[in-house]
Amino acid sequence: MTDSTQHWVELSIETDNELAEAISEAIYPYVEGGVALEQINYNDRIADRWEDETATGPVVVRAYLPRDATLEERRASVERALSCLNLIRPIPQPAWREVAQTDWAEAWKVAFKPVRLGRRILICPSWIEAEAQPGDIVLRLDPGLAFGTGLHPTTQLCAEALEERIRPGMRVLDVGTGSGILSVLAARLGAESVLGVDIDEEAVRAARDNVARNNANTCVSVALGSWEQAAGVYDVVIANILAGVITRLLQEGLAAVGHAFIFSGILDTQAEAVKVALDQASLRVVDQKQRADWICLVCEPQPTTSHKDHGAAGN
Amino acid sequence: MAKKVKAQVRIQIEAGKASPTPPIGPSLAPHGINLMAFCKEYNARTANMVGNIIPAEITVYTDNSFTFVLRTPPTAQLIRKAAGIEKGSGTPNRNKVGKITKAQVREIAEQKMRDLNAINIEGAMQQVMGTARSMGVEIVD
Repeated sequence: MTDSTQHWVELSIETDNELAEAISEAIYPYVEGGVALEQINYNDRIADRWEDETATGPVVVRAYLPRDATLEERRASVERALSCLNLIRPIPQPAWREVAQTDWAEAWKVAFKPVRLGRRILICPSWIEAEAQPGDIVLRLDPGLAFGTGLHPTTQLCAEALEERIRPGMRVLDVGTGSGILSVLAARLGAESVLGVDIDEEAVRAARDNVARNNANTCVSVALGSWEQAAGVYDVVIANILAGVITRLLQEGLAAVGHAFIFSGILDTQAEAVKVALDQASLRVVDQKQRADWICLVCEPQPTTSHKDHGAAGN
Repeated sequence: MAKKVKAQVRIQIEAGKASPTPPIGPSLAPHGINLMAFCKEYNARTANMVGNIIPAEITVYTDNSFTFVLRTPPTAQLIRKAAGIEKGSGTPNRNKVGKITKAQVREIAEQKMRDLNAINIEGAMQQVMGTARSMGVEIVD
C-alpha cells in the first residue's frame, strides 16, 4: 500500500493557448507520463456541429512528478526549463501541490448516481445496486464513450413523453439513439419492437451493449444510419437530436413514417423555427414540455391533410 | 442531442501508453470520464504510432459524456526527428544544437496544417520556424 509511486506532486500553470504548448514542450522530458492541458468553457454557446466545439477561458497546464527519491532533482529540472523559457517569453508563476493518492480508475464513477425519470423510471449505472420501488422500471447503463446519462433535460423530457405515449404492442423508431437509453426505455414500457438508428458507429456499439445489458435484444434492434432504415410506419417516432437536424429530417420526409412523434434537443429559442418545419410537414403539436431552456414537442399528423394521413395503414 | 461543452482537455502522451495514472487520472477523473474506456480507445487507435507523442483532445459535455480526437505530434517533436537530435537547446539564443532545411520545414508545416492556427502553408511554415529557433535549431536552405 505504501508504494511510493502512488503519491504525486502536481505542477499547474494558468496561461493562454499558445504559451501552454511551449510550456508543455519544455517540461515534457522531466514529468511522468505526459502533460495535460485543461480549458474550462465559460461560454454558454451550444455546439451545433461537432467541429464547432471549442472551449473558451484560460488554459491550465498540469503535469505530475512521483513523490520519490527523484522528486527534488526532477522539480529542479522543470524549474530550470521554465526559467529558460521565461527568458524568451514571460511565464506565469507555477503552482505546486501534493495530490492525494486516489484510485483514479474508480474515481470517475462518483459522478454517476441513479436517476429517477418520469413517474417510475430509474436509470442506474451498472455498478450500483438499484433501490427500486415496486412497479419501477429499472434501466442499467454503463457509460462507454457515447453516453446519455439520463441527467440531461432532453432525455428526461423524452422519457416522460414515452411514459405517456407508449402502449403495449407498439412499434417504435428512435432516430439518433446515442446510448440507446430511449430505445430500451420504450421496450420496457411495453413496445413490441423498437428500431434505434444512429449515424455514429460509436453510438451504435454503445447502444447494442446497453440493449444487451438490459436483456432487451428480443425487441430492440440497433442499426447504423438514419430514418431511411425505417420499415413501414411506426406508432411512435422519437428524435432527440438538435433543432437543425430535426428540421432537416422533416424536410426529408420523416413525417411519413410515424403516427406520433417525440422531438427534443430543441432550445426554447429554436422552437418557433422547428414549428414552421412541422407545419410544412403537416404535423401539429399536441403537447409541449419544457425543462430549463430545453423543449420537447409531441406531434401528430394534422387531421385536415388527408393525403398525408397514414393512420389507417397500421391499424 | 444538443450538448453544452463543459471543458476541453488536451493530453500529450506517448502513443499506446495511456493508463489511469497521472496525467490522465487526475485530469480526466474529475470530469466523470470513464478512464478505462478512454485508455483502451486511445491505445487501440494509436497502436501503430508507438514512439511518437500523439495528443488527444477530449471534449467534455455538461451531461458528462465526451468525445475525443487525436491530434498530430507536437511541432517540436517533428523538428527533433527532422534534425536528428534528442532534445532542444537550453540556451537557444547562444547554443545551436541542429539544423533543418526549408524543405523539411514545409513537410512539417503540411503535416501540422490541420492543427495549426494558420491560414496558409506560408503562415504554418513561419510558426514551425519560430518553434525551431526557440529550440536552438537553425533553418538552412
